[in-house]
Amino acid sequence: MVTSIGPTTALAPRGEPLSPFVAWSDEQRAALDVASVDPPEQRRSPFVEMVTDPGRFAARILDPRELQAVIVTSTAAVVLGAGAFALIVRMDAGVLTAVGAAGRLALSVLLAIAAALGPIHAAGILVAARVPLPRLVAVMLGSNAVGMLVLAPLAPVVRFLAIQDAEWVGPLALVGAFALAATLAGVTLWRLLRALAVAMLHALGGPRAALSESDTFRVGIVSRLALVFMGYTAMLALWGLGAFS
Amino acid sequence: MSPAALVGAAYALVAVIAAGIAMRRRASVGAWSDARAWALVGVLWPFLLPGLVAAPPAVSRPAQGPHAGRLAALSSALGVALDDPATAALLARPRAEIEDALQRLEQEARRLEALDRAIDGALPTARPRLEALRAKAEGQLAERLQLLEEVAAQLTVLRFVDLSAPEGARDEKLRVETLLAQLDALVELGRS
Repeated sequence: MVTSIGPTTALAPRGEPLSPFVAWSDEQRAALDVASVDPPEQRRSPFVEMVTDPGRFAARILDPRELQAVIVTSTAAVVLGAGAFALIVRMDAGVLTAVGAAGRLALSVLLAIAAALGPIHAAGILVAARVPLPRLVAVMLGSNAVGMLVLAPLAPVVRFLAIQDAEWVGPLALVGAFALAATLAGVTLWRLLRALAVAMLHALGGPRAALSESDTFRVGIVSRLALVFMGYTAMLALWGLGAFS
Repeated sequence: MSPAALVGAAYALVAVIAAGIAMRRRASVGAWSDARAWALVGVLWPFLLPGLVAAPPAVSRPAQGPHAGRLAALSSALGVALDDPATAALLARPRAEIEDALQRLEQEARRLEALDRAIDGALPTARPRLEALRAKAEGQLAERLQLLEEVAAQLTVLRFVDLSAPEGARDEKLRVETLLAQLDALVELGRS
Protein backbone atom coordinates (compact mmCIF):
# COMPACT_ATOMS: atom_id res chain seq x y z
CA MET A 1 0.00 0.00 0.00
CA VAL A 2 1.52 3.27 -1.03
CA THR A 3 1.43 5.98 1.57
CA SER A 4 2.34 9.46 0.52
CA ILE A 5 4.71 11.06 2.97
CA GLY A 6 6.02 14.57 2.95
CA PRO A 7 9.77 14.93 2.34
CA THR A 8 10.48 16.26 5.85
CA THR A 9 9.00 13.13 7.49
CA ALA A 10 10.43 10.50 5.14
CA LEU A 11 12.19 8.37 7.73
CA ALA A 12 12.33 4.58 8.11
CA PRO A 13 11.43 3.21 11.59
CA ARG A 14 15.13 3.06 12.49
CA GLY A 15 15.58 6.72 11.65
CA GLU A 16 17.46 6.16 8.38
CA PRO A 17 16.69 8.93 5.89
CA LEU A 18 14.70 7.88 2.82
CA SER A 19 14.68 9.56 -0.55
CA PRO A 20 12.27 12.51 -0.50
CA PHE A 21 11.62 12.06 -4.21
CA VAL A 22 9.95 8.67 -3.81
CA ALA A 23 6.68 7.69 -2.18
CA TRP A 24 7.49 4.77 0.13
CA SER A 25 5.00 2.00 0.85
CA ASP A 26 4.58 0.57 4.34
CA GLU A 27 6.31 -2.59 3.18
CA GLN A 28 9.33 -0.72 1.90
CA ARG A 29 9.56 1.30 5.09
CA ALA A 30 9.57 -1.84 7.30
CA ALA A 31 12.80 -2.27 9.26
CA LEU A 32 15.21 -4.82 7.90
CA ASP A 33 15.75 -7.65 10.38
CA VAL A 34 19.49 -7.99 10.06
CA ALA A 35 19.65 -11.08 12.23
CA SER A 36 17.45 -13.06 9.82
CA VAL A 37 19.70 -12.48 6.83
CA ASP A 38 22.89 -13.54 8.59
CA PRO A 39 23.99 -16.86 7.19
CA PRO A 40 23.74 -19.78 9.58
CA GLU A 41 26.99 -20.79 11.20
CA GLN A 42 28.81 -22.97 8.74
CA ARG A 43 31.24 -25.67 9.66
CA ARG A 44 34.75 -24.57 8.92
CA SER A 45 37.43 -26.69 7.33
CA PRO A 46 39.22 -28.90 9.89
CA PHE A 47 42.55 -27.29 8.90
CA VAL A 48 41.21 -23.83 9.68
CA GLU A 49 39.89 -25.11 13.00
CA MET A 50 43.21 -26.74 13.87
CA VAL A 51 44.98 -23.42 13.62
CA THR A 52 42.31 -20.97 14.81
CA ASP A 53 40.26 -23.02 17.28
CA PRO A 54 42.04 -26.22 18.41
CA GLY A 55 39.39 -26.77 21.11
CA ARG A 56 36.64 -27.11 18.53
CA PHE A 57 38.76 -29.45 16.41
CA ALA A 58 39.54 -31.60 19.46
CA ALA A 59 35.81 -31.80 20.31
CA ARG A 60 35.15 -32.80 16.70
CA ILE A 61 37.51 -35.78 16.76
CA LEU A 62 35.89 -37.19 19.91
CA ASP A 63 33.15 -38.44 17.55
CA PRO A 64 34.40 -41.68 15.88
CA ARG A 65 32.69 -40.88 12.55
CA GLU A 66 34.25 -37.41 12.35
CA LEU A 67 37.56 -38.91 13.40
CA GLN A 68 37.77 -41.20 10.39
CA ALA A 69 36.82 -38.38 8.02
CA VAL A 70 39.50 -36.11 9.54
CA ILE A 71 42.13 -38.85 9.18
CA VAL A 72 41.35 -39.36 5.49
CA THR A 73 41.22 -35.61 4.77
CA SER A 74 44.49 -34.98 6.59
CA THR A 75 46.22 -37.84 4.76
CA ALA A 76 45.09 -36.38 1.44
CA ALA A 77 46.35 -32.93 2.49
CA VAL A 78 49.76 -34.35 3.48
CA VAL A 79 50.14 -36.18 0.18
CA LEU A 80 49.01 -33.22 -1.93
CA GLY A 81 51.03 -30.62 -0.01
CA ALA A 82 54.27 -32.60 0.07
CA GLY A 83 53.81 -33.81 -3.50
CA ALA A 84 53.17 -30.31 -4.83
CA PHE A 85 56.24 -28.94 -3.07
CA ALA A 86 58.62 -31.60 -4.38
CA LEU A 87 57.10 -31.49 -7.87
CA ILE A 88 57.68 -27.75 -8.23
CA VAL A 89 61.15 -27.70 -6.66
CA ARG A 90 62.44 -30.64 -8.71
CA MET A 91 60.84 -29.64 -12.01
CA ASP A 92 64.23 -28.53 -13.31
CA ALA A 93 65.39 -32.14 -13.36
CA GLY A 94 62.60 -33.30 -15.66
CA VAL A 95 58.97 -34.30 -15.24
CA LEU A 96 59.59 -37.95 -14.40
CA THR A 97 62.18 -37.05 -11.76
CA ALA A 98 59.86 -34.42 -10.32
CA VAL A 99 56.94 -36.85 -10.10
CA GLY A 100 59.21 -39.43 -8.47
CA ALA A 101 60.42 -36.84 -5.97
CA ALA A 102 56.81 -35.87 -5.19
CA GLY A 103 55.91 -39.48 -4.47
CA ARG A 104 59.01 -40.04 -2.32
CA LEU A 105 58.48 -36.90 -0.25
CA ALA A 106 54.81 -37.71 0.39
CA LEU A 107 55.74 -41.28 1.31
CA SER A 108 58.54 -40.00 3.60
CA VAL A 109 56.14 -37.85 5.60
CA LEU A 110 53.53 -40.61 5.91
CA LEU A 111 56.20 -43.14 6.92
CA ALA A 112 57.56 -40.74 9.52
CA ILE A 113 54.10 -40.24 11.02
CA ALA A 114 53.35 -43.97 11.07
CA ALA A 115 56.72 -44.76 12.64
CA ALA A 116 56.31 -42.11 15.37
CA LEU A 117 52.83 -43.27 16.46
CA GLY A 118 53.99 -46.32 18.41
CA PRO A 119 56.73 -44.61 20.49
CA ILE A 120 54.47 -41.63 21.29
CA HIS A 121 51.63 -43.92 22.38
CA ALA A 122 54.06 -45.95 24.51
CA ALA A 123 55.52 -42.80 26.06
CA GLY A 124 52.01 -41.67 26.95
CA ILE A 125 51.39 -44.99 28.73
CA LEU A 126 54.65 -44.60 30.68
CA VAL A 127 53.71 -41.16 32.05
CA ALA A 128 50.06 -42.14 32.72
CA ALA A 129 48.85 -39.87 29.91
CA ARG A 130 47.86 -42.44 27.32
CA VAL A 131 46.42 -40.86 24.18
CA PRO A 132 43.95 -43.24 22.47
CA LEU A 133 45.63 -44.38 19.28
CA PRO A 134 42.88 -43.29 16.84
CA ARG A 135 42.88 -39.74 18.24
CA LEU A 136 46.68 -39.67 18.27
CA VAL A 137 46.61 -40.61 14.56
CA ALA A 138 44.17 -37.77 13.84
CA VAL A 139 46.26 -35.22 15.77
CA MET A 140 49.56 -36.31 14.16
CA LEU A 141 48.12 -36.35 10.65
CA GLY A 142 46.28 -33.07 11.20
CA SER A 143 49.32 -31.19 12.48
CA ASN A 144 51.50 -32.53 9.68
CA ALA A 145 48.81 -31.62 7.15
CA VAL A 146 48.99 -28.03 8.41
CA GLY A 147 52.77 -28.15 7.95
CA MET A 148 52.52 -29.50 4.41
CA LEU A 149 49.84 -26.97 3.45
CA VAL A 150 52.26 -24.23 4.57
CA LEU A 151 55.18 -25.90 2.75
CA ALA A 152 53.53 -26.19 -0.65
CA PRO A 153 53.19 -22.43 -1.38
CA LEU A 154 56.89 -21.94 -0.53
CA ALA A 155 57.93 -24.14 -3.47
CA PRO A 156 58.09 -21.33 -6.07
CA VAL A 157 60.23 -19.24 -3.71
CA VAL A 158 62.65 -22.11 -3.14
CA ARG A 159 62.80 -22.86 -6.87
CA PHE A 160 63.46 -19.22 -7.71
CA LEU A 161 66.23 -18.91 -5.15
CA ALA A 162 67.76 -22.20 -6.31
CA ILE A 163 67.89 -20.88 -9.86
CA GLN A 164 69.64 -17.72 -8.63
CA ASP A 165 72.23 -19.58 -6.57
CA ALA A 166 72.25 -23.36 -6.56
CA GLU A 167 75.21 -23.65 -4.13
CA TRP A 168 74.20 -21.68 -1.05
CA VAL A 169 70.95 -19.75 -1.26
CA GLY A 170 68.95 -22.55 -2.90
CA PRO A 171 69.77 -25.26 -0.35
CA LEU A 172 69.40 -22.80 2.53
CA ALA A 173 65.98 -21.80 1.20
CA LEU A 174 65.01 -25.49 0.99
CA VAL A 175 66.09 -26.08 4.59
CA GLY A 176 64.35 -22.87 5.69
CA ALA A 177 61.08 -23.91 4.05
CA PHE A 178 61.15 -27.27 5.84
CA ALA A 179 62.09 -25.55 9.10
CA LEU A 180 59.15 -23.17 8.85
CA ALA A 181 56.71 -25.96 8.01
CA ALA A 182 58.09 -28.13 10.82
CA THR A 183 57.79 -25.27 13.32
CA LEU A 184 54.16 -24.64 12.44
CA ALA A 185 53.37 -28.35 12.49
CA GLY A 186 55.05 -28.68 15.88
CA VAL A 187 53.16 -25.75 17.39
CA THR A 188 49.89 -27.16 16.02
CA LEU A 189 50.68 -30.60 17.45
CA TRP A 190 51.38 -29.10 20.88
CA ARG A 191 48.16 -27.09 20.89
CA LEU A 192 46.07 -29.98 19.61
CA LEU A 193 47.29 -32.42 22.27
CA ARG A 194 46.47 -29.96 25.02
CA ALA A 195 43.10 -29.13 23.42
CA LEU A 196 42.33 -32.87 23.23
CA ALA A 197 42.95 -33.29 26.96
CA VAL A 198 40.76 -30.29 27.74
CA ALA A 199 37.99 -31.45 25.38
CA MET A 200 37.88 -34.87 27.03
CA LEU A 201 37.75 -33.20 30.45
CA HIS A 202 34.87 -30.97 29.36
CA ALA A 203 33.03 -33.94 27.87
CA LEU A 204 33.18 -35.80 31.19
CA GLY A 205 33.14 -33.04 33.76
CA GLY A 206 31.31 -30.14 32.17
CA PRO A 207 32.57 -26.94 30.54
CA ARG A 208 34.02 -25.54 33.76
CA ALA A 209 36.39 -28.42 34.43
CA ALA A 210 40.08 -27.53 34.16
CA LEU A 211 43.27 -29.54 33.82
CA SER A 212 45.08 -30.08 37.11
CA GLU A 213 48.75 -29.14 37.47
CA SER A 214 49.72 -32.80 37.28
CA ASP A 215 47.62 -33.35 34.13
CA THR A 216 49.13 -30.26 32.48
CA PHE A 217 52.64 -31.44 33.32
CA ARG A 218 52.06 -34.91 31.84
CA VAL A 219 50.33 -33.52 28.73
CA GLY A 220 53.42 -31.31 28.29
CA ILE A 221 55.73 -34.36 28.52
CA VAL A 222 53.72 -36.24 25.89
CA SER A 223 53.72 -33.18 23.61
CA ARG A 224 57.51 -32.75 23.89
CA LEU A 225 58.12 -36.45 23.26
CA ALA A 226 55.78 -36.32 20.27
CA LEU A 227 57.84 -33.50 18.77
CA VAL A 228 61.10 -35.36 19.38
CA PHE A 229 59.89 -38.65 17.91
CA MET A 230 58.27 -36.95 14.92
CA GLY A 231 61.44 -34.99 14.21
CA TYR A 232 63.59 -38.10 14.48
CA THR A 233 61.43 -40.29 12.23
CA ALA A 234 61.01 -37.45 9.70
CA MET A 235 64.77 -37.00 9.53
CA LEU A 236 65.31 -40.73 8.97
CA ALA A 237 62.54 -40.98 6.37
CA LEU A 238 63.69 -37.94 4.39
CA TRP A 239 67.28 -39.16 4.44
CA GLY A 240 66.34 -42.74 3.62
CA LEU A 241 64.00 -42.09 0.71
CA GLY A 242 66.00 -39.14 -0.60
CA ALA A 243 63.35 -37.06 -2.33
CA PHE A 244 65.84 -34.31 -3.06
CA SER A 245 68.97 -36.33 -3.85
CA MET B 1 63.17 -60.62 -3.60
CA SER B 2 64.49 -57.16 -2.76
CA PRO B 3 63.85 -55.63 0.68
CA ALA B 4 61.54 -53.01 -0.83
CA ALA B 5 59.48 -55.71 -2.53
CA LEU B 6 59.28 -57.67 0.74
CA VAL B 7 58.07 -54.59 2.59
CA GLY B 8 55.57 -53.91 -0.17
CA ALA B 9 54.28 -57.47 -0.03
CA ALA B 10 53.91 -57.29 3.77
CA TYR B 11 52.04 -53.99 3.47
CA ALA B 12 49.71 -55.46 0.86
CA LEU B 13 49.05 -58.53 3.00
CA VAL B 14 48.09 -56.43 6.02
CA ALA B 15 46.02 -54.19 3.72
CA VAL B 16 43.97 -57.19 2.61
CA ILE B 17 43.45 -58.27 6.23
CA ALA B 18 42.44 -54.72 7.22
CA ALA B 19 39.95 -54.51 4.35
CA GLY B 20 38.50 -57.84 5.47
CA ILE B 21 38.10 -56.57 9.05
CA ALA B 22 36.42 -53.40 7.74
CA MET B 23 34.04 -55.46 5.59
CA ARG B 24 33.14 -57.73 8.50
CA ARG B 25 32.40 -54.78 10.79
CA ARG B 26 30.64 -52.91 7.97
CA ALA B 27 32.88 -49.94 8.75
CA SER B 28 32.19 -46.50 7.38
CA VAL B 29 34.64 -43.75 6.54
CA GLY B 30 32.97 -40.37 6.39
CA ALA B 31 29.94 -40.65 4.12
CA TRP B 32 31.09 -43.98 2.58
CA SER B 33 29.92 -47.21 4.13
CA ASP B 34 30.47 -49.64 1.27
CA ALA B 35 33.34 -51.26 -0.62
CA ARG B 36 34.97 -47.85 -1.18
CA ALA B 37 35.30 -47.35 2.57
CA TRP B 38 36.71 -50.87 3.05
CA ALA B 39 39.22 -50.36 0.20
CA LEU B 40 40.28 -47.06 1.77
CA VAL B 41 40.81 -48.79 5.11
CA GLY B 42 42.96 -51.34 3.30
CA VAL B 43 45.09 -48.72 1.57
CA LEU B 44 45.52 -46.49 4.65
CA TRP B 45 45.51 -49.24 7.27
CA PRO B 46 48.30 -47.73 9.48
CA PHE B 47 46.04 -44.74 10.10
CA LEU B 48 42.50 -46.13 9.84
CA LEU B 49 42.83 -49.58 11.39
CA PRO B 50 43.41 -48.35 15.00
CA GLY B 51 40.19 -46.34 14.85
CA LEU B 52 38.30 -49.25 13.36
CA VAL B 53 39.50 -51.73 15.94
CA ALA B 54 39.15 -49.38 18.89
CA ALA B 55 35.78 -47.83 18.03
CA PRO B 56 32.82 -49.00 20.12
CA PRO B 57 29.86 -50.60 18.32
CA ALA B 58 27.51 -47.98 16.88
CA VAL B 59 24.50 -48.95 19.02
CA SER B 60 26.25 -48.30 22.29
CA ARG B 61 28.05 -45.02 21.70
CA PRO B 62 28.73 -43.71 25.18
CA ALA B 63 26.97 -40.53 26.16
CA GLN B 64 29.05 -37.43 26.53
CA GLY B 65 28.31 -34.40 28.61
CA PRO B 66 28.28 -33.74 32.34
CA HIS B 67 26.50 -37.00 33.26
CA ALA B 68 28.83 -39.29 31.32
CA GLY B 69 31.29 -39.68 34.18
CA ARG B 70 28.57 -40.54 36.69
CA LEU B 71 26.96 -43.02 34.31
CA ALA B 72 30.28 -44.74 33.66
CA ALA B 73 31.03 -45.00 37.39
CA LEU B 74 27.51 -46.27 38.08
CA SER B 75 27.77 -48.90 35.34
CA SER B 76 31.06 -50.12 36.76
CA ALA B 77 29.76 -50.23 40.37
CA LEU B 78 26.56 -52.06 39.39
CA GLY B 79 28.50 -54.54 37.31
CA VAL B 80 30.84 -55.38 40.21
CA ALA B 81 27.96 -55.66 42.70
CA LEU B 82 25.75 -57.82 40.47
CA ASP B 83 28.65 -60.10 39.53
CA ASP B 84 28.76 -61.27 43.14
CA PRO B 85 26.53 -64.40 43.20
CA ALA B 86 25.57 -63.84 46.85
CA THR B 87 24.20 -60.38 46.12
CA ALA B 88 22.39 -61.50 43.00
CA ALA B 89 20.73 -64.33 44.93
CA LEU B 90 19.40 -61.94 47.60
CA LEU B 91 17.66 -59.69 45.10
CA ALA B 92 14.03 -60.37 44.27
CA ARG B 93 14.52 -59.00 40.76
CA PRO B 94 16.45 -60.42 37.84
CA ARG B 95 19.72 -58.72 36.93
CA ALA B 96 18.33 -57.77 33.54
CA GLU B 97 15.83 -55.34 35.12
CA ILE B 98 18.57 -53.34 36.82
CA GLU B 99 20.66 -53.32 33.64
CA ASP B 100 17.59 -52.13 31.69
CA ALA B 101 17.19 -49.27 34.17
CA LEU B 102 20.81 -48.26 33.54
CA GLN B 103 20.38 -48.42 29.77
CA ARG B 104 17.28 -46.22 30.03
CA LEU B 105 19.34 -43.64 31.92
CA GLU B 106 22.02 -43.72 29.21
CA GLN B 107 19.33 -43.19 26.57
CA GLU B 108 18.00 -40.22 28.53
CA ALA B 109 21.50 -38.73 28.75
CA ARG B 110 21.90 -39.07 24.97
CA ARG B 111 18.48 -37.49 24.50
CA LEU B 112 19.61 -34.55 26.65
CA GLU B 113 22.68 -34.11 24.45
CA ALA B 114 20.46 -34.08 21.34
CA LEU B 115 18.19 -31.53 23.04
CA ASP B 116 21.24 -29.34 23.79
CA ARG B 117 22.22 -29.41 20.14
CA ALA B 118 18.65 -28.61 19.10
CA ILE B 119 18.56 -25.64 21.49
CA ASP B 120 21.80 -24.29 19.97
CA GLY B 121 20.28 -24.24 16.51
CA ALA B 122 16.69 -23.39 17.47
CA LEU B 123 14.66 -20.39 16.41
CA PRO B 124 14.29 -17.72 19.14
CA THR B 125 10.57 -18.46 19.54
CA ALA B 126 11.16 -22.16 20.18
CA ARG B 127 14.12 -21.75 22.50
CA PRO B 128 12.25 -20.99 25.78
CA ARG B 129 10.04 -24.07 25.38
CA LEU B 130 13.00 -26.28 24.51
CA GLU B 131 14.93 -24.97 27.49
CA ALA B 132 11.95 -25.70 29.79
CA LEU B 133 11.84 -29.26 28.39
CA ARG B 134 15.57 -29.58 28.94
CA ALA B 135 15.35 -28.39 32.55
CA LYS B 136 12.57 -30.91 33.25
CA ALA B 137 14.44 -33.76 31.53
CA GLU B 138 17.68 -32.94 33.36
CA GLY B 139 15.84 -32.88 36.71
CA GLN B 140 14.30 -36.30 35.99
CA LEU B 141 17.64 -37.73 34.90
CA ALA B 142 19.42 -36.40 37.98
CA GLU B 143 16.73 -37.88 40.25
CA ARG B 144 16.84 -41.32 38.62
CA LEU B 145 20.64 -41.27 38.52
CA GLN B 146 20.73 -40.55 42.24
CA LEU B 147 18.29 -43.39 42.96
CA LEU B 148 20.29 -45.87 40.92
CA GLU B 149 23.51 -44.73 42.59
CA GLU B 150 21.87 -45.39 45.94
CA VAL B 151 20.87 -48.85 44.66
CA ALA B 152 24.48 -49.51 43.63
CA ALA B 153 25.71 -48.34 47.04
CA GLN B 154 23.23 -50.57 48.87
CA LEU B 155 24.16 -53.56 46.70
CA THR B 156 27.81 -52.94 47.54
CA VAL B 157 26.93 -52.86 51.25
CA LEU B 158 24.94 -56.09 50.83
CA ARG B 159 28.09 -57.81 49.59
CA PHE B 160 29.82 -57.22 52.90
CA VAL B 161 26.96 -57.43 55.42
CA ASP B 162 27.38 -60.42 57.68
CA LEU B 163 24.80 -62.74 56.17
CA SER B 164 24.83 -64.91 59.29
CA ALA B 165 22.96 -62.05 60.94
CA PRO B 166 19.67 -62.19 59.03
CA GLU B 167 18.39 -58.88 60.45
CA GLY B 168 21.17 -56.88 58.83
CA ALA B 169 20.80 -58.50 55.41
CA ARG B 170 16.98 -58.18 55.48
CA ASP B 171 17.09 -54.44 56.19
CA GLU B 172 19.55 -53.84 53.36
CA LYS B 173 17.46 -55.98 51.02
CA LEU B 174 14.34 -54.04 51.90
CA ARG B 175 16.15 -50.78 51.27
CA VAL B 176 17.26 -51.92 47.78
CA GLU B 177 13.75 -53.12 46.89
CA THR B 178 12.28 -49.80 48.09
CA LEU B 179 14.72 -47.82 45.97
CA LEU B 180 13.98 -49.92 42.89
CA ALA B 181 10.24 -49.46 43.45
CA GLN B 182 10.77 -45.67 43.66
CA LEU B 183 12.71 -45.80 40.40
CA ASP B 184 9.92 -47.77 38.69
CA ALA B 185 7.35 -45.23 39.92
CA LEU B 186 9.44 -42.36 38.54
CA VAL B 187 9.73 -44.07 35.17
CA GLU B 188 5.97 -44.66 35.01
CA LEU B 189 5.34 -41.04 35.95
CA GLY B 190 7.65 -39.93 33.18
CA ARG B 191 5.82 -42.08 30.62
CA SER B 192 2.32 -40.81 31.58
